Amino acid sequence: MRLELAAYPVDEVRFGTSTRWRDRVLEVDRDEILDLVRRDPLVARAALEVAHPGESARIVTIQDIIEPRVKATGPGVAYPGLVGRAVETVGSGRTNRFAGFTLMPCTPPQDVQRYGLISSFRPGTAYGDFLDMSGPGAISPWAATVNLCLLIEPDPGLAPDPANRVIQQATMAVQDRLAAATLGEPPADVEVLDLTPRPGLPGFVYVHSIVSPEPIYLNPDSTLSTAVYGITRLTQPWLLHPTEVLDGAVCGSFFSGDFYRWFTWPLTNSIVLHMCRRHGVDFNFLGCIMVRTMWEEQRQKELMANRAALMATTLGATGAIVTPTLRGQRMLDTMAVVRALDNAGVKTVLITEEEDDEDGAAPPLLVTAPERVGIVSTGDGSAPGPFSPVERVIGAGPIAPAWYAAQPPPLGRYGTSHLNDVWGFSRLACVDY
Amino acid sequence: MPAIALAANANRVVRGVQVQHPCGDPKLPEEADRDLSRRIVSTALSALQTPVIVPTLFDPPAAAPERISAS
Amino acid sequence: MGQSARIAHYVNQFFGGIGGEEHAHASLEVRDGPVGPGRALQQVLGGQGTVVATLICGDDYVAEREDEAGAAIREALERHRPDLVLAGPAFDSGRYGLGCALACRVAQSLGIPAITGMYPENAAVITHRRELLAVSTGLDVTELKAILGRMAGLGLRLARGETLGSAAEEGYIPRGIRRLVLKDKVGYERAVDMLLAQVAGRPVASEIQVQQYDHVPPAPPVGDLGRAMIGIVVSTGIVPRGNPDHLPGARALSAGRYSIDGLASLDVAHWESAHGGFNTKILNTRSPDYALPLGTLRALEAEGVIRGIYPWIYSTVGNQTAVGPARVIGRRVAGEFRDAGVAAALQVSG
Repeated sequence: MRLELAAYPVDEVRFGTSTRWRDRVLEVDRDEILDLVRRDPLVARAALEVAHPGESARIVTIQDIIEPRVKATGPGVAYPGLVGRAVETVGSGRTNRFAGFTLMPCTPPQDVQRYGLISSFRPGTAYGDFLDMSGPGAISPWAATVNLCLLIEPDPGLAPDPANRVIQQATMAVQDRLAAATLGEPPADVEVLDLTPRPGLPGFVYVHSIVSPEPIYLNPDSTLSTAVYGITRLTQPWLLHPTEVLDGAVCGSFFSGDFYRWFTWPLTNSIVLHMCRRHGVDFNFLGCIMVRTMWEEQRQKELMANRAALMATTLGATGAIVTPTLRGQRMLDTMAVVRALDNAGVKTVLITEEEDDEDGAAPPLLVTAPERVGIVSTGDGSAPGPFSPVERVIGAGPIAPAWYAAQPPPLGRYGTSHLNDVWGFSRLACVDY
Repeated sequence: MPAIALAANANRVVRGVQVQHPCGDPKLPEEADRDLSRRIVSTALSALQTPVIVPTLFDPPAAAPERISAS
Repeated sequence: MGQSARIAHYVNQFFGGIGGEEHAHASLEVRDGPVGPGRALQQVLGGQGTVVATLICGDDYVAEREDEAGAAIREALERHRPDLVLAGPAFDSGRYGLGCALACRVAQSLGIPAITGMYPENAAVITHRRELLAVSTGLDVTELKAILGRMAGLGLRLARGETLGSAAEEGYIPRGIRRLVLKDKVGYERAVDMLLAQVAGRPVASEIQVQQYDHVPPAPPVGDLGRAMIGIVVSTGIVPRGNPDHLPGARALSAGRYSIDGLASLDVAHWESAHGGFNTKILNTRSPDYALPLGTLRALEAEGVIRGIYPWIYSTVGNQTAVGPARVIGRRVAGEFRDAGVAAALQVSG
C-alpha cells in the first residue's frame, strides 16, 4: 500500500469569524463548531478552549486525543467505522493532517457507582490524569502540540456507554469540519509512505494488544474502548496494513471505570508512523496485527496468541514488536502473544511499562517473557515532575481548585501511570542501579 | 487465570472455569453446575494430598472422579 | 577532600598469605598496611588513597561463624576508622564472596562506603544483591589489577560523597533497584534498533531483566483429609453485602475477616463481590459461591471427606494488589490458620 501524508502544520489557533487554515495558523469559528456539537439533543453543554505549548496551563478530564485528518484522495474516511462512519478500507491515496495540533474531547468524570461499576472517584478532588503545557512536568508529546479542547457534557441521565457515543459523535463531527479546512489548500510538505516490500530485507510486524470492553460492560457494541473499523468486540486478531492505522482505522480511548486512558493519537502518530518511515531501509514493514484482549480463560488467550503468530509467519515476518495495554490479567494475553511469536521463530521485542519494584519485593513484570525476547522499558508509570502550580486549568465540568496547585509527582504502582505510554513515545525508561 | 498463579510460584494451582465464575458455570443446568463445582473443589482437595516439588497445575477431570476416601 | 583516603582492604586467608584451604577456619586477623593483592591496590591508588589496614579472614570462619566474624570486622573498622572499605575481589568464589559481602555490610552499617568485586553469578550476589555494590568481573584471575583499579575508582568517588550512575554506566552488578531515567531516543525507536540487532544476530541488552517471584518450598501433603480443617481465603473480593469494611475495588492494602459459622452457602442477599477488575454481575445476582464454593465444601464436610471448615474467611481484592501488602495479608492469614490448627488453605482467585 502507498499513502501520502500531506502536512498542514499548526503553530497557533485563533478564534475568529471563519474556520480556515493559512500560514500555519488555524482560525476556528467557535460558534460554527459548537452549533455542530449542539445539534445533538443529548449534548447538555459544550465549550471550546485552546492551550498552546509553553502556557501555564493544565488540561484535565481528557476523554481522547485525536489529530484531525481528512482523505484528500483515495477511498474511505479518516477514522473509519467509528459511530457509524463508512467502513471502506483506508490507507491509500492522500491524507491531509494537521501537524502539531490535536483535538481533545474532555468530559467530566461520572459517578459510575450508580451503574454498578466500581470507581475510586471522589468529587471535588484533583483526581485522574492531567497534562501540563509548561514547566518541568511538561513531558508528554502533547505539551508540544496546540490542543483544541472540546469540553462536552452529555445528558447526565445517560449511562457511560451511550454518553461516550455522544462524545465520539461530536468529536468526529468537529474533526471532520476542522480537517476539511485543508481541502484545496497546498500543504507545507507531503510525505510519501510506499510500503512495497524491497528485496533482501527482513520483514517486521507490529502487534498491539487492545482491551475489548465487551466482557466488562456486557455489551458487544460498547464504545468504551479502542475500536478497529468501529468494532470493539472480543474477537480473534485483526490484520491491517500499516497505512490503514495511519488513517485512524484503530481509534478510540479506553474507559477504565474512572477516566479515559490510552488515546487515539499514539496509534496514528507514534510507533506505526515511525516504522513506516523506516520501511525499505533496514526492514520491510509487513503489517499490523491487533490482538483483542480480555479473554477470561487461559486457553482462549493462548488460542488468540497462536492466531496472531500465524498471521505474522504467513506474512513472512522474521521480526515483531509487541505492545500491551493493561498490565494485569491482560498482560497474560500480551505475554501469550510474545511466547507464540518466539516459539514460531519470530524475533520479538516487547515494549512495556514495568511494575514498581516495591524496594525489591516485586519483579518488574507480572509474568516473565522468554529470555530470548528483548524488552524495552518505558518506565514504571511514575513521572518525576515537579508539576508546578498553573494559572489556568482546562477541563469539562466543575474544576476542583486543587488542580491549580502543584501536583504530587504520580507514582507508578500496579496499573497507574502518568503518560500511559505503552507505545514508547516518550524517552522515559527505568534502568538498573 | 492459572498462568498468573504459576508465575507467582504458587505450588498447587487448580484450573477454574473463568474469571467471572471460577468455581462453576451458570450457563449449565443446576445439577451439572453443582457437579462441576464439586469436581473443581475435589481436585483442590486431591492436590492438597499430593506431594509437589515445583508449581504444579491440577486440571479438574471432565467426568466426576471416584469419591475421595475420607482417610 | 584534599588528602589521601584511608582504605581498609578485606581479603581471605589465601590472598592474605596465611595459607590455602587448610587455613580456611582462620579467624579475623588485622595487619597494618597492604597485604598480597593490597600491594597492587596501593599502586593503582597512587596518592589518592592509602591502604592503612588489611583484614584477613578464613572463608569457612565467615561461612560458619558469621556473627563472630561480623563482630570482629566491626571492631577492627571502629578502631581504624577508614574512609572506604574495599573487599576482594572474590570473582566466582562463593565463600570468599560471602566474606566480602559481610565486610561490606558491616562497613555500611558504620556509615563507611564499601565496594567489592564479583562475578555476577557469585552466590553472594544472589543472596545480598540489594545491599552489595560490586564491580562486575569475569572469571579470569589475571585481571585482578584492572579490577582493583575499577574498585578503587568507584570507591574513591563514593568516599568523596559522589553519587554513582546506573549499573550499566559504572560497571557494577545491578542491585535490583530500578530508577526512572530519560534516554536519548524514544522507546519505539530503541525497540526497532533492538529488533534489527536481534535479527542480525548481534548481542542485545534487554532493558528489563527476567526476574522471578520468590520460591516457597511446598508444604507437605495433608495426610488425613478426613481429619483436616480447611481454611478459606479469597482474592475475589467476596464481602458481606454493603461492603462494611469498604474493601476497595483495586489496590487493596488489607483483607476483611468474616464469619461463615453455621452458613450452608453464600447468597446474594447477604454477600457480594467488591472486585473492580472484572464484571461481578454473576457473583452479585446469581451466587457468590462461584467465587467462594461454600455450598460444595459443606456437602463434602457432611460426607466426612473433610472434618470441617474454619469459621473465619479472609477476603481481599486481587486487582493491582502490590506484592508488599499481599505478603502482609498472607502472613497474617497463615499465622491465624496455623495457630487454629487449620490443616490446609483453599484460595480462590479470578
